[in-house]
Amino acid sequence: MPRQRNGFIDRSTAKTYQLVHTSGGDGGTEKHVFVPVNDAAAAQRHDESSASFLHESIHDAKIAGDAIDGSQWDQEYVRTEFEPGEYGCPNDGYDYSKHFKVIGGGGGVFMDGITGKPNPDAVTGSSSKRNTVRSKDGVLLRDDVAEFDKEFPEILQTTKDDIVRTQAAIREIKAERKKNKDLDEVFAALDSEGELDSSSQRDGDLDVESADDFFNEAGLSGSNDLLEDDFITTAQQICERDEVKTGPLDGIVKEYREPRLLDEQFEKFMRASEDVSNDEDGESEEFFHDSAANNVGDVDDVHAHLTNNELENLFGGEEGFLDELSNLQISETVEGDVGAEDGVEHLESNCSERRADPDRVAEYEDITNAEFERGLDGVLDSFSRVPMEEVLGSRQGVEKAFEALERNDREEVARLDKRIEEGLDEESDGHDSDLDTKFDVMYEQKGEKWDCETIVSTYSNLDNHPSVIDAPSSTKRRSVVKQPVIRLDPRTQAPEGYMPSVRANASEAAPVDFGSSRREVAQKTQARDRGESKEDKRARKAAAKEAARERRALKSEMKKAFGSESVKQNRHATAIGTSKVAMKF
Amino acid sequence: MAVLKKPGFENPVEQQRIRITLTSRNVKNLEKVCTDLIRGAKDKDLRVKGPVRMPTKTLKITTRKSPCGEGTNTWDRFEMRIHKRLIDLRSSTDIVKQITSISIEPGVIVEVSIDAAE
Repeated sequence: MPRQRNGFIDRSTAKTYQLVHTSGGDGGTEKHVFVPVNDAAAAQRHDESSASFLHESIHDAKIAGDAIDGSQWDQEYVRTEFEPGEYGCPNDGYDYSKHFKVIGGGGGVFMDGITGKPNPDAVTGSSSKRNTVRSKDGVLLRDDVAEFDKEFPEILQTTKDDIVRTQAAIREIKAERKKNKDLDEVFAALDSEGELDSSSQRDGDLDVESADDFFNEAGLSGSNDLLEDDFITTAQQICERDEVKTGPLDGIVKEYREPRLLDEQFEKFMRASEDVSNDEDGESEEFFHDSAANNVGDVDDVHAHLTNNELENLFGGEEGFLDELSNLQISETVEGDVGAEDGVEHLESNCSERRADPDRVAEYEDITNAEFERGLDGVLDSFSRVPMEEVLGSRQGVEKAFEALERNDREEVARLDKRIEEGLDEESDGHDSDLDTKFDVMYEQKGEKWDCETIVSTYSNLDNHPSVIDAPSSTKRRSVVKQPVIRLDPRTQAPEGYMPSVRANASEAAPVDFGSSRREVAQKTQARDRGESKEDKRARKAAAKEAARERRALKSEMKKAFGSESVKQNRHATAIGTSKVAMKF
Repeated sequence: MAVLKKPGFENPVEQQRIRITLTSRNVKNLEKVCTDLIRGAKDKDLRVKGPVRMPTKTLKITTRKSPCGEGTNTWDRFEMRIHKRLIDLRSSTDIVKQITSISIEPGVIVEVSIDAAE
C-alpha cells in the first residue's frame, strides 16, 4: 500500500488571500493588496479607493512586520469620515463637517400636510438611530449617534423648539378656521398643490359645483339654470340686496394719488383740444405756442382773414412754385420735428390771431397753400385757375396786394377781398355761394379742347376708312428659282428633249421621230395579200420583226429617260425644300 | 513553526508554507509572472518548488451560428482555456509581500495560501 503523503498545505486550516492591484487613488502609489478569498468576489467589485482605504490601512497597520491576521479583515465596509479638504472644502483648520447634513436624517421637523401633526419618526430622523458597526470580535468600530449628539447638540434642541412652535401655530389656525367658514372652503378647495380645485370636497361643507357659489351667495332661487333667468334681473336683485353697490364699477376702489405735473398738462391739453373753437381769451394760444413752437418757429402774426387760396394767389400760383412748395412741405415734414404737420393743422383751424415770423411765414403759407391746392385738385378738376392779374386788373394790382400784406394793412386787404367778391357776384352762374366766393374768379371752366387724335377717334369706321399706309417691307423675300416648265408630248406623254440618249446623240443624229416609226411599223404590219409570193411573205415577216425590234428599243429608251428624269426631279425637290414628294412616273 | 537556521543568520525567522496559485487564460502572461516570482524567491534564497503546471481546463461552448435556426447547420466552437500554476515557498509573510510586489500582468489571478500549521 503506498504511503499516503500529506499535502504541502492543509486546506482546512490554511487561509487564502487574493492579490488585488490598487491604482493608488489620489496621489497614492500603486500597491498590491491581499484580500481574503471569502470576499474575493466583492473585493474585485470593490472600489479601488475604498479597498485601498480599508485594506491598505489594515495592511499597513497590521501586516507590516507581523503575521497576517485575517480576522481583522473580515469587517464590513465602513463609510469614510469627512476629511479636511474633502468635498471641495478648504483645508484651513475649520471643521466644515458641521455644515454637512447626515444622509438619511439628521434632524428637522416633518409635519403631516393634512393633519398638521408632526411625524415623530421624521422629527427624530436617523440622527436618533444608532449607527453601530462592530467587528466580528465585538469591537465597536462606529457609533454615529453618540458623535453626532456630541458635536451638534444645539441642532436637536432647535428642532424640538420648532416642533413646539409649529404645534401652537397649528392650533391657532384651527381656531381661526372654525370661526371663519370661508377659510374652510378655501382650504377645502385647495388641492395638494395649493391651487384651487373646484372638485375637492372637505368635510362635506362645500358643493362640488363651484359655479353655483355666486348664486348661493346671492340667495337667488332658480339660479342654477342660467338660461331661463334674466341676467339683468339677477344683477338688479344683487344690487338691491347690496345697497353699497350702485353701479357696475362700484366696489372697485380707485386708488387716490396726488396729481402730478403730467396730469395737469394732460388735462390742459384735453381741454384745449375740445374747447379751442370757443376760445376767446387765447388760453389755448399758450399751449399751441408751446407745442408748435419747435415745429413752426415763432409764429407771431398770420393773416387769418385770408384764405389759403388767397395766399396762394398772392404768390402767383405758378405751377413751378407749387412744386417747390410741395417739396418744401415734404422736407419740412421729414426733417422737422414730430408733429410739425399737426402743429400746422392746429394753426390753420384753431388759431385766430398769430404773429408771424417774417422769415418763416412764407414757408408756412407755402405749405398750407400746397396742401390746399392738392385738396382742391380733386374737387375742382374741371376748373382752371384764373390768374390773379385778371382779377385785380393788372400786375401792379397784384404787387400792391403783396405790399399790403407785408405792411399788414388790413384795410387794403379787406378792400381787395371786397373787390374779388364783387367780381364774383357779377359772374356768378347761380352756383352754390360757398363755391362761388373765391373760386369762380380763380378758376374758369375748362373749354372743350380738341386735338387731332380726338377728332379722328370720334369718326366711326363707317364714315372713316382708315387704311394702313403700305410701306415697303425691309425684309427680302426669298427668291425662288424658276424651274423650266416641262412639256410633255401629248402622244408619248414623255418630256420633250429630256431623253438622255436622244440628247446625247442629238447633235449626231436626227431626233427620233416616234410618230414615223410607228407609221413604218404600221405599214410593215399590214395585212398580207392573198396572192403574195414567198418572197413577199419573207419580206413581210422580216419587216414585222424589224418593227418589233424597234419597238423594244424604243421602249427601253423610254424607261431609262423616265427613270433619270424622276431622279432629277427628286434632287431638285430636295434642293428647293418643297414639302411635296417628288413625282413618280 | 520551523525555524530557519542558516550560517550568518542569527535571528531565527518564522517560516510558513506558502502556496502561490497563478491562474490565467493567457499562457504568456502567466508564464511571465511565474518566472518573475520564482526569480524573486530565488533571489531571497528561499526554497521554491515550481512552477507546477496543472492541467489546463478547457471550457467549450458549441453554439449554432445562425440566430434564427434557418440555413445550413453550422456550429461555432468557442473555448476558454484556463491555465494554472502552483509555486510553493517556505518563507515569512514579509518576504512574500516583497516577492508579490512585482508588476503582475493583467489577467493573471494570484492567490496566496498560507498554512500556519507550523
